[in-house]
Amino acid sequence: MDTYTLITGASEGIGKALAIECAKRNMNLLLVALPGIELYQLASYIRKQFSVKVCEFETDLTEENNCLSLWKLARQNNLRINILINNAGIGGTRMFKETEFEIWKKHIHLNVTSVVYLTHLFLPELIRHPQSYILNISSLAVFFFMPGKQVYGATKSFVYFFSKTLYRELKKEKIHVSVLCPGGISSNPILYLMNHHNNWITRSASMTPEKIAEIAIAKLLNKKEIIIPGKWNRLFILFNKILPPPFKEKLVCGRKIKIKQEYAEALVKGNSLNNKKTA
Amino acid sequence: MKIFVTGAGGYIGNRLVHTLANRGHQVHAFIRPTSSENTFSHPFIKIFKGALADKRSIAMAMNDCTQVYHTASGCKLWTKKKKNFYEQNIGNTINVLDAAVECGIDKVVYTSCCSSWSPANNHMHTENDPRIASFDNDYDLSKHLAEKTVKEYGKKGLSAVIVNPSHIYGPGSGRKSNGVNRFINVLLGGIVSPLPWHLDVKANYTFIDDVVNGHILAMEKGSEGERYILGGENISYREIIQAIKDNYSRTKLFVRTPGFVFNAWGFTELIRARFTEYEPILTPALTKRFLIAQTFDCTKAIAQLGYRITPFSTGIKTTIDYLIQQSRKKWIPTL
Repeated sequence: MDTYTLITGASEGIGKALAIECAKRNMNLLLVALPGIELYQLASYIRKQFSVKVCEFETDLTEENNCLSLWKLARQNNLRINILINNAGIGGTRMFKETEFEIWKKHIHLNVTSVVYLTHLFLPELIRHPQSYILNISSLAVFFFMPGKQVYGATKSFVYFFSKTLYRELKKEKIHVSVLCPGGISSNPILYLMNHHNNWITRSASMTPEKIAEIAIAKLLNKKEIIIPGKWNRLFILFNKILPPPFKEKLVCGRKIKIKQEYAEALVKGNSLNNKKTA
Repeated sequence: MKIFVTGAGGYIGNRLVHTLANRGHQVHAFIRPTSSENTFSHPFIKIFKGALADKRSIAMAMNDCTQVYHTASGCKLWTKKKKNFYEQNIGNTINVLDAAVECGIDKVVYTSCCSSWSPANNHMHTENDPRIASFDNDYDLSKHLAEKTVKEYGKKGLSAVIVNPSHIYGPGSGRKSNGVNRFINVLLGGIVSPLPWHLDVKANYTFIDDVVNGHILAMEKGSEGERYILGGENISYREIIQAIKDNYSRTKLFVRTPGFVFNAWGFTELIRARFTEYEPILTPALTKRFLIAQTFDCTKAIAQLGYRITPFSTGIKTTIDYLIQQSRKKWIPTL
């Protein structure tokens, strides 16, 4: 009987890279993403390139009903999920007072509710297998309290806590739970521009989704509990532990993230801001 | 028919302008104020000098034209300021498309490149394949975003077709952006030439005349909002060297060089470029491109446009003859 790997948010960024990494390892895939052409292109590419089965399902996981219909689809088609990768999530750097509540609600629904709901729905299925895996995507932001990452960081902290607790709870059931905490990623044009038009450390520390996916899947199958990809990111964690708090405070708050984001958004539209600091 | 062409001083643009004029069209050739007018030799070509950043000058030059070819782009893998890529490739494209909407242009052909697809071993890319590897240089990303912009204008009602030429070789203006001609020049000149370590790496090489014809065919027959790969044969380095040996008899030493040597060279070039006005001829991004296979399948263009591929053996012969003639004329040192 074929087993399947479920990857949410598979059309872009880490999800896409994870899908290809899993296909390379001969895992059958159930890919979920928002409606759009990218998911179909990816699925047909994987079918052509690798000898694995791919099912795709387009839906918006911010709605609870859609999580349920995903689960129903898997059951109707008898797709036996033994690896669940809760990758779909929203991120970004937004100031709290400048952002509408609707956006925060979306953050919470996608990053928190859908993760818990999908894990809950698929748990009975995962238990049936001799060995199953769950991979949740948190963030390096959970270790640093950066301005502009309030709700995002909080939702990812939730995922971090949830995964670590679940890891201990499900050990007996032969389900391994890993949590991935990536740092800077060039997963979409804006992020690429923000990382690459930044200072040397940010440029060096930013990683490609492919590299992260490769590390993540290898360590998930090796049953590692917390996965922090990249030397720089591990170094940041080390600094976080050893540096005196006032110094850390200065480092974390001193970043001019907002200007970078505006700059990147302007570049994508083809006009550059004439800002001396960023040019 | 009146046709507007941007980047008419460039490699593709210049050939295209002359081909169109030879077919009896009135061509409005848009070139940079700094470009030379000497490269144009046809009474049907009317030269307009201006900057693509200036919408008004584009609209003036585009007046009463019915077709637009937008071939201009910041086609380099390196500039001193990274933002130039975005201004030139996205900003200027938006300006041209806006002017096209304003002037009521019938159809636009946008020249993209093959960086919308990531290099991949043993896979022939088609138009529908997604990009797998993430973007690692500003040129690729800016062209990809520009392509997206063109598609958005297409949705808003502007009739636009995208063409994606692969690695182009063949006679034409010898700018630095033309990497393949430069590479062939390196292989032709001197006594010792460096070669990549893995000679079986394949890439797609397309002849300049095919690309120009492909542009015209895309204008005639291309469906709106579609993109077409204008490629040629998928050839390995071994085959290129063989072709050069066949067409050019001269004792030469080819040295297979490991990738790290090219990378180290590229980095030194970058450092030199950073502190002086020097423009690097090799960058790590270019090395990466040279060392990974990138093969394409252009059956879509052949089936839908009637696109034809010049055999590599014919194309390379013409190119070698041209390059040798050029170097005799000017005594250009290789590279």
